[in-house]
Amino acid sequence: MIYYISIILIGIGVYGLLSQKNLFKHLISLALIDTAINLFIVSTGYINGKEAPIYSEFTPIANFVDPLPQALVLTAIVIGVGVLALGAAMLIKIKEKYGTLNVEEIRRGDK
Amino acid sequence: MRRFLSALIALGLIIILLEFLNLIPDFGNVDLSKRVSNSFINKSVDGNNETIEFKKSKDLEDGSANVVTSIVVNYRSFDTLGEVTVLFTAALGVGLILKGLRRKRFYREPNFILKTANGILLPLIFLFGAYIFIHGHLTPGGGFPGGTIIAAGILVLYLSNEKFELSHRAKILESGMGTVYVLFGLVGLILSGIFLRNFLPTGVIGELFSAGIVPLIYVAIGFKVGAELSNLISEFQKEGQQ
Amino acid sequence: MISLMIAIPLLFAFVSIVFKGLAKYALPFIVLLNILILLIASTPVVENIGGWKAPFGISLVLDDASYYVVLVVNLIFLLLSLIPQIIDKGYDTIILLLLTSTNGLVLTGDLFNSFVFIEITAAAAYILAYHRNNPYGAFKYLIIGGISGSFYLLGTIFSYVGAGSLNMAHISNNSFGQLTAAIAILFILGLGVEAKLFPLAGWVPDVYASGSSLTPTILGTAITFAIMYLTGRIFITVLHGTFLDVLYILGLLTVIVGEVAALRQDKLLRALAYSSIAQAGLVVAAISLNNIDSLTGAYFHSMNDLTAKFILFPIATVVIKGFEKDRLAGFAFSVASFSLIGFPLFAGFRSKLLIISSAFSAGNYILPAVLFFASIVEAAYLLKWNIKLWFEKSDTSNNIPWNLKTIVLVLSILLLIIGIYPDLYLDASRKIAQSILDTQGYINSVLGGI
Repeated sequence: MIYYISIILIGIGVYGLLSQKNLFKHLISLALIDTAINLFIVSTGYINGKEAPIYSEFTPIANFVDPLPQALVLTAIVIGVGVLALGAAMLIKIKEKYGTLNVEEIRRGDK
Repeated sequence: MRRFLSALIALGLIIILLEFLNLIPDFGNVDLSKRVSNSFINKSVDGNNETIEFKKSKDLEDGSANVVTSIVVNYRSFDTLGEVTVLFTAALGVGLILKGLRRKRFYREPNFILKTANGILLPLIFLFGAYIFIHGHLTPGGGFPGGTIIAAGILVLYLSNEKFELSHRAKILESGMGTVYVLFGLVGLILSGIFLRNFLPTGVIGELFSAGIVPLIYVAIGFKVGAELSNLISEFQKEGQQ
Repeated sequence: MISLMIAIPLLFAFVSIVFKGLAKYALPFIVLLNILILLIASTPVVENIGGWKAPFGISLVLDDASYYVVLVVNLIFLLLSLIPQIIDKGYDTIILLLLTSTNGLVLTGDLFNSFVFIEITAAAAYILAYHRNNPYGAFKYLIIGGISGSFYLLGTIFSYVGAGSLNMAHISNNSFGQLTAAIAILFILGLGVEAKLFPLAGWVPDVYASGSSLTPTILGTAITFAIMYLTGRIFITVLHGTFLDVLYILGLLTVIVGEVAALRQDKLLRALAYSSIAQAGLVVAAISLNNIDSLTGAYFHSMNDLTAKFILFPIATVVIKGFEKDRLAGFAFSVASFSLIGFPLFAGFRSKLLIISSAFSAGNYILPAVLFFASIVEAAYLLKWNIKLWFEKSDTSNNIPWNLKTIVLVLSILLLIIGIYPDLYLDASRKIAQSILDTQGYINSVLGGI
């Protein structure tokens, strides 16, 4: 089920990218795709009836889900944050340079 | 028309990806023994065959109780170094891009409740962040969430105090902690000829002082991420000023 | 030892935030150190980071292919460090990060690690694209690059689900039937943006033609070459040539679309940007033929292309008034364009000939036809620009700095030498091709006797 949700979210993100004219919505669509893929990665590590991969007083002996996807997702999230911050900074500059975030108006301004 | 076409493309992509799903195991039905993470859980990459028990097993190849941490900061530490670098690049880039921007000032009076609550909560927020990254090898969390919590504290400071400015020392902290991470790697290279080698004893699994260089690196990452995100917040915040 | 090639530039990048100006002076020495490490290394070297053995930890692999690619990349950075005036204040740290990530991208033997390095490269490239206030082009690149990065990540995860590990050699050693096709499609989407393939290359003209000479000079040479290497490594070494037909068709389409678009440009930089797209398409198409001669031709052509582009892009950004007072720069420009077109006796002719003959011996007649068409179009627009720049009357020079002039002159003489004695480039590209095709050797050297 989580697999389907994440794939539908990817589809929504791609739709948003292609159909919207506002650049800020493009950035949000990118964030949506990132999140959907992170969701997918975490869910590939889940195993029925197993626990979070931490040795503790409650789980002294290993009965764990796959920890590697969780580690990968941590990396992927941080990378996504970096890219989003860069994109937001560029949006501020676009707004300053062209006075708008609408793709069509920016293209007209370029010519 | 544009909307219809984009919906068509998105739908096509969804169908292709759903088709791919048939090729991988169902959700929750993963055979862990076929994956490398099985060795990460049992800490048997170097050939340990004993079952691991909390607070009993000692001198393992990797001593952190949190297996995710052991992957992030030990088995795949090189990825984490790269991840820190991406964040560093982004913070640097935001600074470069927003440099020389025409600044405006929004005069706004911070909320009284926010101002008062901030005085009480801020130390607790910082303490909680520090707790998270110091215990990264024992409990869920670690350097990245801990650093983010500290940066959230800085954000609250910005919101509640109009005159607050992040000191230049945050940049020095960011740079210094990044350097510390690479130096840990280089010390490993000098001592054992292997980059990012865990050169300290790993101790008993589950104790605070265990897992060798893992908690030390996670503390460095915690400070670095905290300083980096605070810098990002301050760059974006400055945008509203003269 | 080879991890130092990543660690040292990174260390200096971190430190240069506090000691401003350090990055600029340190860059040539760091690159020289990298080249020194390469010279004393003997291939193949496999370094397991953290001491964790091959399928478990991350391994850096220096085999014949990555050796020459890293060497070329570092030489390009060395040349770049000799013309420091094109690097604006603050951007020198970005160049150091780019050096780190490009070295890492080529050396790593781990799929997820290569994703991380691609993202560092991309983040640095977005910032470089912004250089000289070009926010819209940079944002476009960021969005399309971000999406392709996501698909690359998805491909990586599918490989992990299939093979149970992220190590390239280990994945290559496993066969997982139909899943390979899915992974190949995801990787085509993931690498297509950086490799400048047709439907995904819309960002290139906006980024390369922003008026900065730094951006296209480094992105169009070192980064492109590293990505071409990664394309070969992933599709041929790791995925055993699955779905190369798609890559082949996309490559040919890229050539045609790129050349036709380049012909229609009325700005020199945009024309060169589209030409860059077309050359990348040609290299990808030649790689996808998947035999030793075509791969040799592909990397040989890529090296010729980057040598020519290192001349064309910096000159094209500074030349406004024609070559009347800058005959030496004009000479270099013309040699580079002739090599790009593929006139006999120039370097580009050799590589195009090699690609054509390898396609003929594989019984393929479409690639030679497309290549022939591309060369004619290239000749049309590059000659047009050469004539225009040579015959423009002016009484002042363009103020081309002396070090840039020297470098482009040396590179143009190199192109002439390669045209007559191609062995210098040809040996390197043959070694790259052999090593990329030698899947079993790669697996053995990384996984050892497992």
